[in-house]
Amino acid sequence: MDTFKIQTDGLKSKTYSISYVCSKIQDIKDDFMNITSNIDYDVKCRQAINGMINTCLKQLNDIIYNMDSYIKLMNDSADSYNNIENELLSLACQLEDEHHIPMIEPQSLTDERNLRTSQMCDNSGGYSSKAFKYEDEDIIALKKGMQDIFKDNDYVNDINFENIFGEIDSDIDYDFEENVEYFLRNCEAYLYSNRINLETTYKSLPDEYKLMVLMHWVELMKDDTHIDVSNVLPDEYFENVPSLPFTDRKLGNITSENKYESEDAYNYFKKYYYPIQALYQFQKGDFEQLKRTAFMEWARLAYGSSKKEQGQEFRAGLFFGGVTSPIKGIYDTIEGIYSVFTHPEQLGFFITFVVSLPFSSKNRELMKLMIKQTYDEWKAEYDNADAGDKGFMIGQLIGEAITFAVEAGGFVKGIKGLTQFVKNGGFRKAVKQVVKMGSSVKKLLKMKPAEFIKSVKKIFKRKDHYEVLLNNDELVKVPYDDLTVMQKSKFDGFVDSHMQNDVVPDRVYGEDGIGIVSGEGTGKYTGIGKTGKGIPQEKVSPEVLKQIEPDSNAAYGYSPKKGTPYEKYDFTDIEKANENRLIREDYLKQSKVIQNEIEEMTKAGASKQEIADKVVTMRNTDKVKARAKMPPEDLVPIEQRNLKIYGNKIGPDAEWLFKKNKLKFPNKTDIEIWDYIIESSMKKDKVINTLLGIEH
Amino acid sequence: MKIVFNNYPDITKVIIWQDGKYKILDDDSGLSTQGIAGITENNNLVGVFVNNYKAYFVIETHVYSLSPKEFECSNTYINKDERCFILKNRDMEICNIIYKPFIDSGMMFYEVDLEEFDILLFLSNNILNNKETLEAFIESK
Repeated sequence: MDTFKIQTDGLKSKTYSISYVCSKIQDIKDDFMNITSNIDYDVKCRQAINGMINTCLKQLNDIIYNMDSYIKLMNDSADSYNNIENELLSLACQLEDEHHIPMIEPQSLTDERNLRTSQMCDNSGGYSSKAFKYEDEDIIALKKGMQDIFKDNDYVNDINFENIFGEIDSDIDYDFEENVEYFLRNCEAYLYSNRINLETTYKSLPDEYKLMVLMHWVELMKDDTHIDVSNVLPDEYFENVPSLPFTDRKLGNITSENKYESEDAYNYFKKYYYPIQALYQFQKGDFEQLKRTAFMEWARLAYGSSKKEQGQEFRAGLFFGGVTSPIKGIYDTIEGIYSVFTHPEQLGFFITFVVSLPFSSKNRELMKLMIKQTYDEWKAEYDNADAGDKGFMIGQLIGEAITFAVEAGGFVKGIKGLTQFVKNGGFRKAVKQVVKMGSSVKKLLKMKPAEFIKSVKKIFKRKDHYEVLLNNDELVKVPYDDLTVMQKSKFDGFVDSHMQNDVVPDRVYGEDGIGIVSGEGTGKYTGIGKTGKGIPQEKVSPEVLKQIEPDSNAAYGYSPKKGTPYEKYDFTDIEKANENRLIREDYLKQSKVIQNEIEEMTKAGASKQEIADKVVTMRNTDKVKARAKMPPEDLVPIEQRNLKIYGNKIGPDAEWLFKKNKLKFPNKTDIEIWDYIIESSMKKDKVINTLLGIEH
Repeated sequence: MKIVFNNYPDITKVIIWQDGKYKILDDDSGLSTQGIAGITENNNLVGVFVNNYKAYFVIETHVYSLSPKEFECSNTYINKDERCFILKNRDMEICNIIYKPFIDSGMMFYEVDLEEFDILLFLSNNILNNKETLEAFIESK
C-alpha cells in the first residue's frame, strides 16, 4: 500500500510536467503566430522555438519513461482489485451462508462461464463451492476424446465438434451441449448394457462440476472401465464438494433426530449427491418423490441414526450398486463413529468422507484399511466382543483415534490428506495411542487410593471427561460416558482430593474423597435404611463417612455425626425424610439443565461473567422453587436475613458473589473467580444426598 | 490508629475502626482497606488486618499481633447448634467465642454456603486457615 501511495504521488507530480509541456506548446504556437518579415525577430523566435521544443522533448521523454511504470502499476492495481473483489465476493458468500439467503436455481446449462470456471459465489444453497479453471487444451482434449469414443461405431453418427473452419475449438456453447447430450445418450445405449443414466446424472450435476465429471467419464471410457455408482464421480469431486450444512434456517441445528425435516439439507443433497443417485433413475414419473426417498437414505449416513433408527438395518444408496455384504461392517463402523461424536459437525471434513463411502470405491478401500489397521491394533478386545457389536466397537475406536489426532493438532484437512495420514502410518499411531490410553484408564480404575495418589500428578475435571496427568507425564483422558456412576463418583473423589491442595483451599462440609471404604466403626452395616433404600456403604466415600454414620433407624440408612452442620436435622423421621428427598431431587435435576446451559453458552462464546450471571440466576430461581415448599417458620428467618444483607429475599447475585470471592481469593484473577462461581453453582452436597439416599 | 475493613458479609459497606470504636459506612468513599471484619452473631466486632506487613486480629477494642508461624485457629461444632471459635497466638489463647451460626434453613434442599453469614467461619476457613493462607493475605495487602 505504501508503494502504491508513493507511486501515485509521483503520478501527481508528473501531471505538472504534462501541464508544463502543454503551456510550452502554446508558447510555440504563439511564437509562430508572431512570425513577421523581420529577420532578426524571426531568428529570435526560431531560437526560442528550438529551445522550447528541446524542453518539450525532454519532458515528453520523461513522461514516456514514467508512463511505462504507470502502465505496469495500473495493471498490477487492476489485478489487485480483481483479487480483492473476488475475496469480497467470497466473503459475501460466507455471509449469505450464515444468513441463509434464499436459494437461486442453478444457472442455465448453456452458460459458458459456469462450465469453464465455477463461480466464486455459489447461490444454489448457500454453500461455497470450489473454483475450477480449465485451459483451452483441456476442453479441446475433451471434445476430441468424445469424438474418438464413437469414431468406429457403425451405429452412431459421428460426433462432430469441429467449427465452421474445420477446427476443434475450446468454445462451450449450444453446439457443445447438443453434442454432449447426443454423446451421453449413445453411451447409455451402446456402451453400458445395464443402462445407466449418464444424461440425467450430467444434467443433475452442479454446473461447476460438469466438465470435471465429463472429463472423468471420457477417461474411464477410453480405458473401457465400467461406470457405476462407485466410480461415477471422480475423487476430485468428493475432495471439493462443499461441506455439509449443519444448520437449517427453520430448524436451527440439523441433528440425527430432525434430519429428514431439514429443507436445507435436502437442497444440499439434491445439488451435490442426488446426481449420483440419478445414475440409476429412468423413471419419468415423480422425480421429486424419488429424490426424497434417496435423500432419506443419504441423510442417515450424513447426520447419523436417530435413537429410533439405531440398531435398525442401515440402508443407503450404495445398494443401488449391488454391493452389500462387505459394506455391512462399514455401516456398523459408521454407527460406532457417530456414537463417539455427539454432532456430525464435530466430524469436520471426515463427514464428507463418510458420506462419499457408498459412491467412491476408493474411499471405501481407505475405510476398509482404517478398519483393518484398527483391528490389528486391538485384536484382543475385538475378538472377545459380541459379534453384533464388533463393527460398532471398531467405529468407536476409529472415532476416538480421529478425535485424538485432531486434538494433537497433526490431522489433515481433506480426503487426500486422510489417505496419506492412513497410508503413512499416522492413523495407526493414533489408534495405538487411544488403545494405550484405554488400558491406562482401566489401570486407573483398578488403582487403590494410595496407589492413585502416588501415580497421579494432576487431575482435571473437563466438560465431558477427566484429564489425568500421570507422574510419567502421560496424559490420560477418561470420558464420562466410559464410566459407571460409581466409577464417576470415584473420579470426582480423586478430583476433590487433589484439588484440596491445588485449587480450592476452602473445601467445606459435604465434599467427597476417594471412593474406598475405610470400614472403621461401621461394622457390617450396609447402609440401607428403614425405607429399604439407601446407598451401600462401599459406594460412600470416606470423606462423606466423616460426617455421617450408619443408622439402621434412619430413613435411608445414615444419620449425621455429632459436630456436623447436619446434626440438627432428624433423618429417622421417615415421612419428613421422604418429603425432603423429593424436594431435593427436583433441585438436583436442574443441575443437568444448568450444565447444558453452561455448555451452550460456552459454545456460543459467552464470557465467564455472562455464564456465571446466568447460572447464579438459574440457581436462585431453583432456590425460590424449593423455598416455596418450606414451612414459614423456616422460611421467614432466611428471607429476613437476605433482605437485610442483599436487599432482596432470594440471595446474592453473581456480581455480589464476585466481590465476595475477590475478598476470599485476593490472588486469583477475575476469570478464575468467575470460574469458581460457576463451579460452586454446580456443587452438590454429597453428605445430604447420602442422608437422603440419593445417588450422586 | 485508624483501620478500614471490608465488611463481611455485607460487602457493600466498610467498617472504620478507630481507637477501639467502630462505625459501619456505605462503601462509596473509595477508601483502601487493610483487612476484613464483621459482626458476629453475638454482636462482637472481629477482623483481621495488615499493617506494615504484619497481621493483626481485632476483637472489639483489642488488637493482637499474629505470627503466621505460631498461630492456631479452630472453629468446630460443640453441640448441634453451637460452634466454638478459638484463636491462639504463640500458645496464648486470644479469643474464644461460642456462637450459634445462622445457616440458610434450605440446606436440606439446595446447596448453601455455610460461610455465607458467618464471619468467624469465613476467617477460620480462609485467612486464618493456616500459615500459607495468612501469608497470602499479608502479601495481598
